[in-house]
Amino acid sequence: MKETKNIIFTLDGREAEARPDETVLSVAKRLGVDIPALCHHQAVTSYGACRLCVVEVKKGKRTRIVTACIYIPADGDVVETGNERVNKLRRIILELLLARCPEVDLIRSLAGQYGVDASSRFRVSGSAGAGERCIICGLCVRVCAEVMGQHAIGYANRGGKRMIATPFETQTEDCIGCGACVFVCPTNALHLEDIGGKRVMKELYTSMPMMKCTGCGREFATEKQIEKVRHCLPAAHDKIAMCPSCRRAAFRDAAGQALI
Amino acid sequence: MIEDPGLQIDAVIDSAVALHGSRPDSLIAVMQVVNGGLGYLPREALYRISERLKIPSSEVYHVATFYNAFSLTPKGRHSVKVCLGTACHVRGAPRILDEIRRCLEIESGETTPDMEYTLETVNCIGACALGPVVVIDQHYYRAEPGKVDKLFKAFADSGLTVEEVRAKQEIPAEEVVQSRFDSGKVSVTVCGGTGCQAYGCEAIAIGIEEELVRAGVREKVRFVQTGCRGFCEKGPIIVVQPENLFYQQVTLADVDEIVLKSVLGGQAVERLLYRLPGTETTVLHEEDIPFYAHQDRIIFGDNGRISPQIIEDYLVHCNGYEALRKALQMNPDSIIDEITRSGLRGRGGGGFPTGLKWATCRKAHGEPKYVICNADEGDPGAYMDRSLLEGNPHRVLEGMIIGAYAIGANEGYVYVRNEYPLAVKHIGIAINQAREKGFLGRNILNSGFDFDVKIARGGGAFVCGESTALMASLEGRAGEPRAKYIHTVDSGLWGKPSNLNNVETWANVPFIITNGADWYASIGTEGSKGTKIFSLVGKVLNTGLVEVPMGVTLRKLIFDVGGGIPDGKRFKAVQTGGPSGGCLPESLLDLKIDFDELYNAGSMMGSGGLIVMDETSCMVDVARYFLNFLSDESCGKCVPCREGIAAMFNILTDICEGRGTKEHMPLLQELAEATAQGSLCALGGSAANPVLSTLRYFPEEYRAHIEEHKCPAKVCKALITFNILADNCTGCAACVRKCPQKVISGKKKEAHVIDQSGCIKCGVCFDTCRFQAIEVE
Repeated sequence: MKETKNIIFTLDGREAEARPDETVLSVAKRLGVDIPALCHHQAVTSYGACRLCVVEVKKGKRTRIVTACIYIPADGDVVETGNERVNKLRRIILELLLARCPEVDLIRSLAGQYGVDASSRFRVSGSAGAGERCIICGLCVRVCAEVMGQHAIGYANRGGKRMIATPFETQTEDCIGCGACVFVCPTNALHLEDIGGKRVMKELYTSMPMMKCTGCGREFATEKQIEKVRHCLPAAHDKIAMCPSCRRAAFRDAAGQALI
Repeated sequence: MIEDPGLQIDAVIDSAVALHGSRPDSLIAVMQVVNGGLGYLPREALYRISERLKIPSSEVYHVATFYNAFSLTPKGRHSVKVCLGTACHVRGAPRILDEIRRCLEIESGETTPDMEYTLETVNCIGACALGPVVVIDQHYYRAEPGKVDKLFKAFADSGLTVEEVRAKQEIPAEEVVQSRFDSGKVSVTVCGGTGCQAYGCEAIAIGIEEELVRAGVREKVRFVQTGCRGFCEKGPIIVVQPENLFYQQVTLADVDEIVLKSVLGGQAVERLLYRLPGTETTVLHEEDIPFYAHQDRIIFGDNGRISPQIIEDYLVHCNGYEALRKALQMNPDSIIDEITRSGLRGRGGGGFPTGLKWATCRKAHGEPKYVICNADEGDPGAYMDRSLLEGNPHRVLEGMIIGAYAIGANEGYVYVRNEYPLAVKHIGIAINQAREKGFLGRNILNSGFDFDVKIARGGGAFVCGESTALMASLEGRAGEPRAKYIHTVDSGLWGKPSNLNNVETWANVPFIITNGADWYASIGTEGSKGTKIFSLVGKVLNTGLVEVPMGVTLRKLIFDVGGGIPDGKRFKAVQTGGPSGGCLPESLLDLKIDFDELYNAGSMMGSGGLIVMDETSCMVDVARYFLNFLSDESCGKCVPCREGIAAMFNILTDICEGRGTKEHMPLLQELAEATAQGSLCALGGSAANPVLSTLRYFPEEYRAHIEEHKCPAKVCKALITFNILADNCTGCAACVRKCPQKVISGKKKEAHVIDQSGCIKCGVCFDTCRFQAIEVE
């Protein structure tokens, strides 16, 4: 039997109500309680990888640490989102991330908020310090698979060698150059640049031709993006190769013609 | 042979898909077939697999790079695998690896330019009693530091036939007393466990059978190649009945004599009997050997009685499938009640009460339900699950069928390590035989209950011992765990209620059903019932698999069963519980081994590996070893585990290499606690234990490294020097010849010296010198 009634629990000392299947992070957001999270985005499924959203849950006598982005509270849970134990843990996690990506502003500012020294005491995995910006939160992987349906990006290797990668670390046919991954990346580890008639995403070994607007001639999307839209929306055929403003203008003109 | 590589790839993929189907969950199995057929996974093959199974190539690539079983580059004709398990590590595996590297002139993971050898390391090959172990193709070798060239010679000789090796000696034949065979009780059993195989038991078994034929008694003698008998240190082992003569360290040259004297004549061959250490006293029977005398071999004892490939053996000699017959007459709830009352706790590591798990899974909503046997034995230093599956697969299967009936599951999986080919083979044979006999399949023994089992071979990832990762792997994905806020008994494999137990746990079940919960609960301690199989390895005299009641002290196990520490060295620590466990010091030798006592001492039971360490084991190095293991085996998904383990490893490396500072010990403590609390799964959650336990029990060793820049065990290379003692050196120049750096010099028959500036501290001179003239400082 699926639980249908709302769950009543305590969040930082006050009563909170969660819909069935609603996570602590979601409830906290709704109530304006700030919980830091790097691998969470409302557009994709939660992953529980960055562990920054740890909170403490007291269930009867038992107290434990859970991640707010995936933990679904139960009736009577007492959740504390920012006590000393939680903050201490977040400080270490931030210090580890800082050791990996010392140049990422978001991590530096979060670390600053939690009172972590700008220079981490640790040396960690990967190419730490050498301009590394990726924290392997996996948002790009999830947005590419779940939102775009392309599955162009994935992971490679495991443990300390794990990384975000396209298959064989080369350009993949599955990438349409939409840039959703670049948009969702919290640490600016992915970049997108339109130069010389091409869209270049160097971290993904990708370079693909742009489409010129049939109206104004401006490059506005990649050919593969247009192809994808054509495939998904066969009805939108004639104006799909236009940039948004030309398309609007074309529709306006068509509407005007119809009025006349 | 198909010449076109594209066609060849298609042909292999076709055969793989024909075998395993094209559903997405077949991915790992299909890739195993292709990797096996082509020797590696060419890029083209992965793209084709992606098309055939309709899995995005990004996911195929992830799986291909996640599991150790797969290679993206071509391999040499022969694979050389150096085991880096804990037992092998403390017995010098790093030095073996260094020597092989120098010998083949390649790094680990590389292939020689002539494509002859590929050198690889394995985190535990499961032949721990033999450590340090090197596996060349399918041949297991016990390696010795300084003598790596011997290995390759032995490998080159491995094709020799029995006749070529057997020494021709004239042994007076005993008169064959025909009446001796009328009883039908004459039998010869040859241990066929992995340990004994490393010593060449295969050839010995062939030799015995040939001799029996020659003596004309083959039909009258029960000849069995059994599974592992546990005393791996002394293999190959042969037992002759009805006199119950126990022979150890048998060679091919002994085969004729055993048959002529013992099988035909019932007489003992003195020189092959076990001798009490330090005496000339021989022991005739297995049960009188101290190693066995202190054990209580309820689960493991049957291994020595039967052929694992013959179901009739199991039925006749082990009361096989009688527990299932009894269980099928019982109500499922009363079976669960029996298991609950027996106090059985999971043997895989956590020690969760088995009855409670079954009850929860039975009550869980959702169909179908699954039962899974976790045979992904990854703990370095443990190999009891391997030996159970290899030696007595029907016992495990019987336990699973009973469990499935109690829980209400009709489908089961055995997830077994691909590194255990014999276990894969034997459980496969057992499943087929059980189906033929009606113990598996539809309407089992006319009870109306249906159940069948599939085998899934693991891809080589320690983290797949974690239940959620194992289930991800069964679904064909990379073995990444998920948070267990919802338990797998409620939502496991494909989101369905799934009950996962370890091999040894399943093997306990038939005994509980047959003998009752009260009998079982009478064995062991208050909180931990029954017996436990331990793999007693490392710096201990009698290495092997031992089974004792819960509650036996570490001292009894290590000194009475294990015979103490070899070479007159002093006991320093015992590591229990694998990478999730800890190192316990001498002061805790009287600790009673059970789940709770070990946990309270800062270690854990784990799957039952006990790695004994002596004064030559450095505890900082051991902690560093485990962190290295874990950083390789972590899935890398969550930050505390991926980066926290790497950070701890880097600090420990600094300490081992003489760069330790006084801040390092508190820093390790802080990191260890954060990693334990913050990680997503139990791998990260317990990764800190090797660090925390060594910090707790051996702080002085850390301080010696940090403050005095000394490694008391003389292990950490950066902190030691090798010198030649002029008084002992005979100038034989053996070390000069072996030194890879050519930094030893001196006149013939005069004391030599080592040029410290070029010394890489490989220790080859130390291992080579027969005059104790090399000193480590």
